Amino acid sequence: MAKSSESSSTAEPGNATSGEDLLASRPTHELSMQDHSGIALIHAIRNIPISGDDEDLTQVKLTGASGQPNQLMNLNHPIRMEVDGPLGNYACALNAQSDIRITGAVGHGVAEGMVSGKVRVRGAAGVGAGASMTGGTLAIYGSAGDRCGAGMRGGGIFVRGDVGDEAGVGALRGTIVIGGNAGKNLGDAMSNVTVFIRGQAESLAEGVAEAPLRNRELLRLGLLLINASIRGEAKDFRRIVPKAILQAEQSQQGEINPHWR
Amino acid sequence: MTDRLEKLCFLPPPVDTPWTGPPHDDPIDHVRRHDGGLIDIPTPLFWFDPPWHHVSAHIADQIAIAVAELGIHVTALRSDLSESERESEFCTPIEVDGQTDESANGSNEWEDRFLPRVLPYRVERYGFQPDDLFGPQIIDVRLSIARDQLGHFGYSPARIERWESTPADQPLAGGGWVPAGSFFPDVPSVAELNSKLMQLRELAPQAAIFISLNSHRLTQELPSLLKAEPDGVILRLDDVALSGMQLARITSLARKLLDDTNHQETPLWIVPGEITADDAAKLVALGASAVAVDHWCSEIIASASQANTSTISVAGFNPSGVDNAVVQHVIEEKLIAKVERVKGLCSSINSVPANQRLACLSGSWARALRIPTIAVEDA
Repeated sequence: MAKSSESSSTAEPGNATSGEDLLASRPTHELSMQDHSGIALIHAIRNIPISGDDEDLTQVKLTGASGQPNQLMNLNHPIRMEVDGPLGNYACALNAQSDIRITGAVGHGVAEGMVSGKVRVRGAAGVGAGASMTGGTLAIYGSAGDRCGAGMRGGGIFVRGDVGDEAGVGALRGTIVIGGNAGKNLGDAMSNVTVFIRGQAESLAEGVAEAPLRNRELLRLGLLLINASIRGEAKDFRRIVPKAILQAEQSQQGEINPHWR
Repeated sequence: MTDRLEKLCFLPPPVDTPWTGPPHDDPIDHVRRHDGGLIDIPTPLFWFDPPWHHVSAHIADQIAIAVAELGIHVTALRSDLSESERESEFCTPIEVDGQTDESANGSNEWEDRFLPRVLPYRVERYGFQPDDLFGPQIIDVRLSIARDQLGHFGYSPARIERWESTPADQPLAGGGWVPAGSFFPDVPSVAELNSKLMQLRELAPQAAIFISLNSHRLTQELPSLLKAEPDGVILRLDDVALSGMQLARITSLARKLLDDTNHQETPLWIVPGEITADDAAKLVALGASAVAVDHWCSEIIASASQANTSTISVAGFNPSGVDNAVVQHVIEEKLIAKVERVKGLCSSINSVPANQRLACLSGSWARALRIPTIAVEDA
């Protein structure tokens, strides 16, 4: 059973703008991952009544996280959770609707296959972070391993630190924002995907190129950074896209949406 | 076509075998999951890689249902068979009156059952949705890299469009082929593949988790993959031009590799390419637990596609052009007799001791396959 606790915070999550504030909201339910694990934990969470207000989700605190694998997978429940501690491989895989904040490192495949919702990790992530995700937001306030965003088909990934090799490999759609540096072969076999990077890439894949950061991308990226609670200015980033997209942009310059502003 | 394994013949039981009647029901095999649960395998046949994008999703769905109703495990994603306005019927549960066991739980229960389905869990997961994990009896962790019709390691635009539909003016990869992945991006190495299998077991506890691989490096790769403890192995032999006896030899070798590494109970499913019903049963006798019949089933898709083409009017495509009756007609014409032949032969080989089911007309191949020989070589 979930243990309810009185909320004594005056924080208003819906109005929060920084990572610190977003993570400061107070839980109204508490579950121990030592008592519940895997499917049992998912069932316990699904039994928690949801709030009717999208701006003020029911909040749950999960204690006892100590690197357990396969936790919070396939959770399709509009609820906000705080996980105090590290999680193992495939944490939050296939997440839908839930807003999950993890204070601690995560293993491989965090939020892989995510459909919607948000997963925020205050720590490092292993390989394949956000692989195959189709929607939602994955924010990692540390560094991520190789193949971050591989095969993604939508949504956004934000990494405050560095990413490893082959970031975005095989991704079809979506956005990847890298606050630090990237490893080798950034953007290999990427399709309709945009990568924004603040640092340097060890190498770009053959099929991608750096593209000008136009006003529309500055605006879009600025909003994305605010949404992901990543400090920094959009103008500090560079844009990496498939060469074919860049060529299409250049050939259609001024024709796609000339009056967009 | 002629039998690829024509040099092998079925042996009848020895003359001193006591007279026993045949089994009353079709012999249903089982696959044992990691947790000990059993999954029914109605026939030793499956459809490994249907080209669903060759027909409309509506027709594909009907074909999947019709083939699965014959007891053939059919591989499909929901996105292979669904449209924006219509969910796949094949992937939805069929409600049957659950077994009444009042002594156990004191109530009558309805339980969800599904037609025999294999979920292809590809490296890239293009087209995959979380709901795909609901219902399949087998999950195929597919480590055999995909190749399109032009020979690329990749997926054709038509297949990608079926999985990931986009506005006409924004095709993925500019409307070209999309490269296929070679290994799971969220698994660091083969040595850690077990973590992916454990994840899938947690997500789909009803399913058995298989691994499929190519045969080119079988003796090196199979032992390392078995360390991940799959519930079964699918071996692709359709992408190499093998003679019939080479096909038999590799099947026998793969079975021996499993047996020698303490995986005697691990099912071995074979994807042999074009075969006859007799070939399928002979592969079972050589140690395969199930055999892919993609060639037979692809004929159904081709026929349905042809019928569909004839219904395209000047106004455009009519998705209802091919109805259930047409699909059923094609199934009856192309498939039922072959399936019944396989079932009949497999029933008969179960009446014969495992080491006396097949003999070979060639002495050298008999030695290689470790089966008896029944004739001398040509002079």
